Amino acid sequence: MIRVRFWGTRGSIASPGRATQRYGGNTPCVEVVGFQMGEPGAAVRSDNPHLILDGGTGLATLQTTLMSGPWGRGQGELHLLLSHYHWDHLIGIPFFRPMFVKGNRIVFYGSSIEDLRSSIERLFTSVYSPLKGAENVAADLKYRQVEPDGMDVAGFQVRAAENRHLGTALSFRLQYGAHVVCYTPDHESGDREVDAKLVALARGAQLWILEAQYTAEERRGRDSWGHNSHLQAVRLALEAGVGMVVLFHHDPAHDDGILDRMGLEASEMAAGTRTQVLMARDGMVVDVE
Amino acid sequence: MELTVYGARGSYPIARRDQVRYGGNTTCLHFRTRSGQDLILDGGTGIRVLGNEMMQREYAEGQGEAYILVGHTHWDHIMGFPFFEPFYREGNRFVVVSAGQAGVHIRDILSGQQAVLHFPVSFEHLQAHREYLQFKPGDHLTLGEFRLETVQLNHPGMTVGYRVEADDGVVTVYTDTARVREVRLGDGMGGLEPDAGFSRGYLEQLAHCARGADVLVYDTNYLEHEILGWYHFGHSTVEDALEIARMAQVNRLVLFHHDPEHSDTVVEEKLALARDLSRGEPLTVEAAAEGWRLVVGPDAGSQKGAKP
Ligand SMILES: [Zn+2]
Ligand SMILES: [Zn+2]
Ligand SMILES: [Zn+2]
Ligand SMILES: [Zn+2]
Repeated sequence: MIRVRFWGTRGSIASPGRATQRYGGNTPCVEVVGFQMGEPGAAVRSDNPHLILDGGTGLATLQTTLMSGPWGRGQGELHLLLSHYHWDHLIGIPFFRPMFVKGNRIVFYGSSIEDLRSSIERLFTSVYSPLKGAENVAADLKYRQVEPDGMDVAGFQVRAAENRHLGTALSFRLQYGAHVVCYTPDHESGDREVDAKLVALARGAQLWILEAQYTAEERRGRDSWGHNSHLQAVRLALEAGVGMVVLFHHDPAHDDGILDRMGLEASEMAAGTRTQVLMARDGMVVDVE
Repeated sequence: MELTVYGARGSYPIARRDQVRYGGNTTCLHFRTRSGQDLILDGGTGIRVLGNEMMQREYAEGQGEAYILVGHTHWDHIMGFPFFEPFYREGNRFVVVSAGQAGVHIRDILSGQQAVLHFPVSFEHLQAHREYLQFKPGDHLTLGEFRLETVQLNHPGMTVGYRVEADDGVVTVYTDTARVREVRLGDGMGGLEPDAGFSRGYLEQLAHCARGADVLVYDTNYLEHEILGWYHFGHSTVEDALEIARMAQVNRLVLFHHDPEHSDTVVEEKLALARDLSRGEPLTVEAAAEGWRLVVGPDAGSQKGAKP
């Protein structure tokens, strides 16, 4: 089975507060763990396949759990796949405690080694960070380029495809045994070729985590802003015939009430199909079995 | 003048249900004079919410003007700027006031934050008019009706504390500062090792810039048991804040830069501790909470600040 935990589900910028407290306001960070059949599954052991999708502010809530394990003792190894280099997907990294423990190893994956390295370095420059340079990070940092046609990451078989967004943004397909999870942050539907590639990537997945930032009305005025409406996201999910689509990358201006409504509309659209629709919330767990 | 808190959290924004009372947005304070002049201190994630409110006013028509003070340029104090709506409206005018960081001008720091790899709209393309005022800590500044004194804080790099005076009210804000008896962190403070003579002089400077202020806003990120071993992170405790409040003879202290790991309950414990330690003294202690507005100076009598 694959356990997916949503630590951050908001897009663009963190939006904490009373109005967003049910869905949460942390920016993208999703933890994915593989379990053998019959494992108790409560605690993550160091030999479980384990990776993190994106390093938004959700990392900060994830770190507490990690620090009570091997990462607190400088014996952790973490694999962090970055979809792209917009801040909402990176800004948790300079505050991520496992980075400050000597002995930990953190491997970053991205579309280009150069962009990866310059992004991480920029996060820690003396202009923006009290650490005054990535060289002062205690953990050992490694950079890997994503191989779109297939690579092994921490026990997962990973493939990637390019979204339609501003700059290069990737979708990831993670397979562990017979289970498949697909992750598509920051994508604007509308280019047939790109959409077809993403649908192909997600085909056969039990779970597709798919960006759905805007309402339909908002989406109309925002061509080339790089994001879907919730209905566009559902359309893609239905085309791929996935078992479940989780809509995420919520707009920071959307309060809990708006997200409730978007969830209802999205579910209505998928009624009578085999695809279940769920709105992502910070802290939510989905088991793919 | 009025002072409103839009972000009171330090280090990084956080959205947790056990923190909604004090809020999870990073630092942003808004000052407004009786005649309606605006001054913003810091562009943490709180500035997104402030910007949205400003867009209900003249800023929506491109007729707004404000001063923006940047205390320092670490992420928690600037990461909200790309989401500050009034920057996207032609006609609005801003003066950005900063001491820079690591020899880099504030314009380049904000523009670097909006490099195309990291944010879809470049800083240069923002529609609002922006001017810059660079100064050195210790300088006195006059910004419209606001009169400012500045002092360097004890925090990695270049960080500035401000004394803001307007409408006969005074607020001093020290957002990020470490215990100087344990460590010297600021650029030009002469090495990490503490020094008794330096410490004394430095504390007197902090007290001087806060002398008789109506309100002192102070970095109380840590509790005493948490600060051990973390002095070099550049933050203080309630005990440190009380020391300066007494030296400066202020009578209202506001705890600020709450640790992102602290729940509302922990912030309230911190507050209770501060009140306990200052019992019998002519000092009111409060903890900054998002959305909290207080009236400062002679106007305060007519309307007491109230928690929403
Ligand atoms: Zn995003
Ligand atoms: Zn993006
Ligand atoms: Zn700070
Ligand atoms: Zn700082």
